[in-house]
Amino acid sequence: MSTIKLLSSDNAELAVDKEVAERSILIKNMLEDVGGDMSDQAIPIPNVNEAVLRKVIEWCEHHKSDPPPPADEDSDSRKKSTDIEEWDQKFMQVDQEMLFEIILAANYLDIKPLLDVGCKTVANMIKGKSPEEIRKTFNIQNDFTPEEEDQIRRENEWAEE
Amino acid sequence: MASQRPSSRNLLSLPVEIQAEILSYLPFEELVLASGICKLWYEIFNETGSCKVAKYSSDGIHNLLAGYNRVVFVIGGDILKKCYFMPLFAVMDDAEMRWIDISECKVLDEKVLCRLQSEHWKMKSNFFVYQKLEGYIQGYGTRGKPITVDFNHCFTVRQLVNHTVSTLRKEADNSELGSVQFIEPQELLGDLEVEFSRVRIKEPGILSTVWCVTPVESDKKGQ
Repeated sequence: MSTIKLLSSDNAELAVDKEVAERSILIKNMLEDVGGDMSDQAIPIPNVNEAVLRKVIEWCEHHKSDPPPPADEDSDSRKKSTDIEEWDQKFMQVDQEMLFEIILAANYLDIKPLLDVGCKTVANMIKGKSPEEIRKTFNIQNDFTPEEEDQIRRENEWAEE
Repeated sequence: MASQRPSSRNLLSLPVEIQAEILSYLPFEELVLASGICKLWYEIFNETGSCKVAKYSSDGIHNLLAGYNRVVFVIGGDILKKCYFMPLFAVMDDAEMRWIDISECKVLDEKVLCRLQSEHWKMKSNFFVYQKLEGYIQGYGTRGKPITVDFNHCFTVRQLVNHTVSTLRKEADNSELGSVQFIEPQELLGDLEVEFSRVRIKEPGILSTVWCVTPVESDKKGQ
């Protein structure tokens, strides 16, 4: 099996099985463009640092023999499940910053299934929380004006028991 | 070059499309709630809301109508023509931002109403229809007296709306009841906009849902 090298944004060179690296559509297309032979030259991944790249590669290793995701865009978005398989759940048990970096990397590298897992993970962190808890969890500023807030409260009165 | 944002990476710093993707995993009622977290999410919700809403199943519309949101139905003749939805946290000044057109939402025709008590079909509890007496609204006034609408044959939201409107009209024709009076009945020949909003009252043993049905000034929903 051939190995290729990836160069992270902080100049770390990581050797990866080609098959694993090709979970990234970006890399796959790149390799196709150059005829597949990148054995002596590292592929620069300018948007991803070493720590994140290692995580992403770890995910790709584990999922290297997954069947390609079904191409049905719309039909399946109808009912979106946030179920995440156990290994992925454990994999995503990282701090928020790393989680968001993984999501960004998956987006950049075009690894849709990993992006999905990341988005689901965040969605699950939002689910079941009150607005205040959500703001606290993600350090989000409430940027509505007092007037807008006031309106919210008035709208909310319908809900008071 | 790429690592010039080493720390403080947070959710709101993700590309908007990704945030939209994340929010799209939320059940509808939580999505509505999330739209009140901050302005960006409010905008995301409004940008994507109307197309997303069409994809939601009956759970979504059920929660939408049972939730603390405003739903406006535009009736032309006796037909439900348009349906708009204003989320709880619709706080922007721009009127057009506030209303989300869910007319295309097929859940209007899904059987979402369920039977809780023998004499009425209902969503989660009793339906009454109030007519508010304020402004030009009094033209349709029921003089504050609640009309109970029998929803026995309503299974879908569309049926519910149509039935509510026709009941209002019948009450109006029944002037000897004195409960409903249309001062300008010809107004009903055009489009009637009905706003359903919700208050909860406690009755012995049951937490009822009371629906206020009020005509809405057409400029209120923009467009």
